[in-house]
Amino acid sequence: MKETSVQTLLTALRRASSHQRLYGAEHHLTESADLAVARAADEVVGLARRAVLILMDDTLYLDGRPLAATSVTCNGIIRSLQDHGVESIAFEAPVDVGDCGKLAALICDRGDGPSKGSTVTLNDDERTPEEVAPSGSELVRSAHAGSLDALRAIGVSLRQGTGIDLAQSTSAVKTLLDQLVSQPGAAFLLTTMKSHHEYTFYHSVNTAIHSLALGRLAGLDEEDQLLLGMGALLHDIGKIGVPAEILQKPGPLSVSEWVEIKRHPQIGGEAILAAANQGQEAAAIVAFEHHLRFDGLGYPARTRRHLPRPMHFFSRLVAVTDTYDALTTRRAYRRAETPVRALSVLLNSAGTSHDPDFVHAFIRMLGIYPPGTLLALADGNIVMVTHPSDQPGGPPFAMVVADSAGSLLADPTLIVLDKSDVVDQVPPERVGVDPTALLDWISEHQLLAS
Amino acid sequence: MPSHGAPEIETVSGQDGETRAQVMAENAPPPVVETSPAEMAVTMANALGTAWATFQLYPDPSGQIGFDRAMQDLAGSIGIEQLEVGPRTFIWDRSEVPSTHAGVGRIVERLFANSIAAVRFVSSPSAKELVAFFEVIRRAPDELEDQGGPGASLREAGVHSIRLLERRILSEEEQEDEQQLEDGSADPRNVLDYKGDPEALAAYLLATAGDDSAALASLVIDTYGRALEVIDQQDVWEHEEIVHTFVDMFFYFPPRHQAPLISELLARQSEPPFRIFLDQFATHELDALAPFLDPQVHPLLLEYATIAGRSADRGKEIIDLLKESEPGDSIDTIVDRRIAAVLAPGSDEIDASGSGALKRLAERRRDSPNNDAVGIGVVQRLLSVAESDADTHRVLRIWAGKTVGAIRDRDLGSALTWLRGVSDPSSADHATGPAFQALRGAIEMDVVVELAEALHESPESAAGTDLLRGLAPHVTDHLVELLGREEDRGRRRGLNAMVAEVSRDNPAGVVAHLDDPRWYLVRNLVIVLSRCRQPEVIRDVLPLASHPEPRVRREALRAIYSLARHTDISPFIAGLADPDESVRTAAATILRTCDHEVLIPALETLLASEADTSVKLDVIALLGTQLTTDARATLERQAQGRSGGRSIPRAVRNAARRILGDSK
Repeated sequence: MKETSVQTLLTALRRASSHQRLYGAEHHLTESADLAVARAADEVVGLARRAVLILMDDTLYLDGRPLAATSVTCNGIIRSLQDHGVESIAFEAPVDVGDCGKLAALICDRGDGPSKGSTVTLNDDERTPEEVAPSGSELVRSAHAGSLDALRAIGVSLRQGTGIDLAQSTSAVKTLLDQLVSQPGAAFLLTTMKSHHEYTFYHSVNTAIHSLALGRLAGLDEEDQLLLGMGALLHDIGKIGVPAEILQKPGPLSVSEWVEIKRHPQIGGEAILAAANQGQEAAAIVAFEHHLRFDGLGYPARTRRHLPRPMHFFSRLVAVTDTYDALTTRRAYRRAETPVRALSVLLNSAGTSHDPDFVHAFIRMLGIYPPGTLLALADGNIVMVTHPSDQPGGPPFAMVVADSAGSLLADPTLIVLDKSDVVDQVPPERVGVDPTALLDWISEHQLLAS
Repeated sequence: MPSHGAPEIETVSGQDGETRAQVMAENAPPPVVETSPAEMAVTMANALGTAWATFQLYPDPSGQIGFDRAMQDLAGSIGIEQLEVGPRTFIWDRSEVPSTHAGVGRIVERLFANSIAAVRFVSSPSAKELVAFFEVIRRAPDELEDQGGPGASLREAGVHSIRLLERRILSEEEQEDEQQLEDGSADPRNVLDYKGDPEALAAYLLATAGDDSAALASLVIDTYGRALEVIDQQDVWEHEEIVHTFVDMFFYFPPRHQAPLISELLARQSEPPFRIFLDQFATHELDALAPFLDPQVHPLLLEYATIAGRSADRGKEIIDLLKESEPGDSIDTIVDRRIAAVLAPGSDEIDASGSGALKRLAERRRDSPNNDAVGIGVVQRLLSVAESDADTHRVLRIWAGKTVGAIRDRDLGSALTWLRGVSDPSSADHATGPAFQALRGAIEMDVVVELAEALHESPESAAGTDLLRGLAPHVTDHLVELLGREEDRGRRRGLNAMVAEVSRDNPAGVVAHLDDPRWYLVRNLVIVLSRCRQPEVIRDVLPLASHPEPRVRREALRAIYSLARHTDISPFIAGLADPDESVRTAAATILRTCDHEVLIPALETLLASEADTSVKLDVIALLGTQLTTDARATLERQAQGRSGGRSIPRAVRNAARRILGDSK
């Protein structure tokens, strides 16, 4: 609940800063945005007089407690704050709108921030890094955030028409792979994190995590895993070149809009190929081929010399993980499928759209109930699947998140899921659980287990 | 947006629906004298919001600081009689009450959802009464309706200090809004205020339509259609937000209202706005609704599923599942069964022993192409989909960059693979096409230096040799330049070999440098050309037999001989008359191997010319090496002292005699 409020606050702050930059401090839109910040800050403070947000090493802490999901979802604004020297922000209720405006102004370089003694105070928290203990999931979140940053940097380069630098994404994939090996459950759970605003980037990181895991299962060596991860992370980068008006269109696309959409594999493949060092070309072919189908259809369609060449191994793999994440994410034109139903769609397309061997291996990897799935049990409890079994085909782990009365549990317990206890699947919005908010707990459990 | 029956006020909407008045009020200084009614309204609203927020956090909020403070504030603001309930905040004196606490918006939403138009305080409520009030408004609208409405519920809870005015009572006073209710429509401009807040929109439309499913379905259809009409059609963001808000709103309706609405939508599926609405549903959401549809509507769902299934993004999944399902067998069960079958022990697809998919995948990975082939594959695919010359040129520039990149890395095998991936020497446009131009632009001196270094290290590299020949048109000038600069004899030899290699198919590139002022470079190039086995270059070498530098002339004669043998000995004959002895020696050496039928008359002509005696002595010596009748006859004529009516110098005559004497 609190974490959601912090997310609202940071989102409002980002908007207020943007409005201040665009319209100036006196504009009514800016004033409204500042007011929204103040309201959100009041909500964060709640009944206490004061609340302190601490920003440390890409992680956000509220009153000393790490906010796992927010540190990733709001890492853009967190970075902006850090870039302006902000290490902590203390809010005192009732938070003044003008002070919020000054904070927003600081971020967009239009001011020095709130003055001393105001309801918003910067950098007066003197806790040491040791006192703000790093959470068990910090590394995996940092890996996720690093991948997002790499994609954002590439996005900026592509928009500016300059060549892209793959070094950051190479490093990001290595880190993701490390975390996937050490904390697979936490990494899987992170893939349930979606963003409508930055769909392409979040989707790409999620696809990379699933692809790396599937590649490991398929027996790829480490060098191949890194290449595969690069391809998966960058597979949709060509969408940077597609106008947002087309990507965000809620209805069917016109012929010309489809033509534009269908160019993204070509744009991505070309950009990656141009930037790839020798040996990294597989990343380019994944970007180029990820919308080709197993049966030879799909796009980009060949218009000139016909090249009857089969899809690359990595492309077939990423086509499966890409589809899974796309299906389980809210899009402009469709609401999200449940994880199980997404597996069913993949299974239905095995042999036509997708390589059946990869589809079956993927299902084996995620199991019948993929991480993030919410299930109602016979005893009335609601559980969330956290990570697949260590043993192939074994029962997954799950966390009891709500009791039979529907109340969320403050201290969830981990269980091994007995499939015969499952009576129904439950949409996340009905339970009100944010899977990534449980990341710390999962991560801690896995580290202890290992 | 004004509530149904609530007084409408003029607002200046901001990004989040706040008004300028609110913002200004937020920044206003605190009261210093007597509290005005407007300020009391603000205090009351904030107190209610704070108390509501505390109540939501604590089962018994009494004693909590926030709650107690709110109670005090409430008691102090009872001077105003009531607060009206707007869709987003309280209204007092026909104006929205600015508030600082987020809890205000939440309690207002709650009150609004329960069709409460105003909250009236008869007296200061006790903590127990306030909690009871909150307990009442926390209930679902349906539940309250069953209990006789919120007012009745409040009375039953023993709360006497608070009165609730329900919206329908006020609505009787508002003829215009009454008419709106009868129309079953809501002003779409006001509905737009609910963008991004589907729960509030659901509450608003439910309240407007009452508990009548058919009326609600009709209201939603009408409002949705009109809302899409009033927005800017070019504003895709707003379009998306409206569609998402309405679709998400659907899930806030009680299930009994959902089936009639989806039936209405299915009946209108041919109209684009409603097709978009239906397309938004996830597969599991559509098939979960199927059992609740009337039998006559079910075919419409199948029709939609069939049409939608033809689109690439929806697929056949939904229609397959709908057809596959039978009464008593939920689609989720079918899906679970399908997936479980894949995971079942002994499944052919996934076998723990490794005989299934994973083993096949491992085998296929082993057979995958290497990285260079993959890269070339990308280039070829990009070229195959290029739609314009600009596309082609861009891709070819990348390809050329890859080729020279491999050379810079001194990976000649890789460079050759890249080169051959696109540039086909047998192709007509090999020497002029866009690939040629791309390579020309990419190959600079530093690339050729790397190439030469790599070949110095591995002179026997077959890939290197092939690469040189493939890149001949682009590297020749640079190689010649390197050759001209090179001082080390051993490396010069290596460069000579490289230039020779590139000249084999492209002698013109070397010929172009024969006018270089550096004689030593020209001499080397002549040597190179002598090995290229291309007779047509003789015409370019021939002038070099007259080069100012005798070492060039000497090599030119040798090159001409090497390229054309005996076809024309005039250059060699002329060489016999060269002022430089080494050239004459070279010419004589060459002429010794020539056919005597051509040679002897040519030598006799030279003897009869005005050439120096020293030259003629060389000719006599050369004739002495030709043991033929013609040669002997010529010598005899020279020995006799006269030939063709001309006298022969003594030295020549004696030399001829000496040779003839020696030969007897």
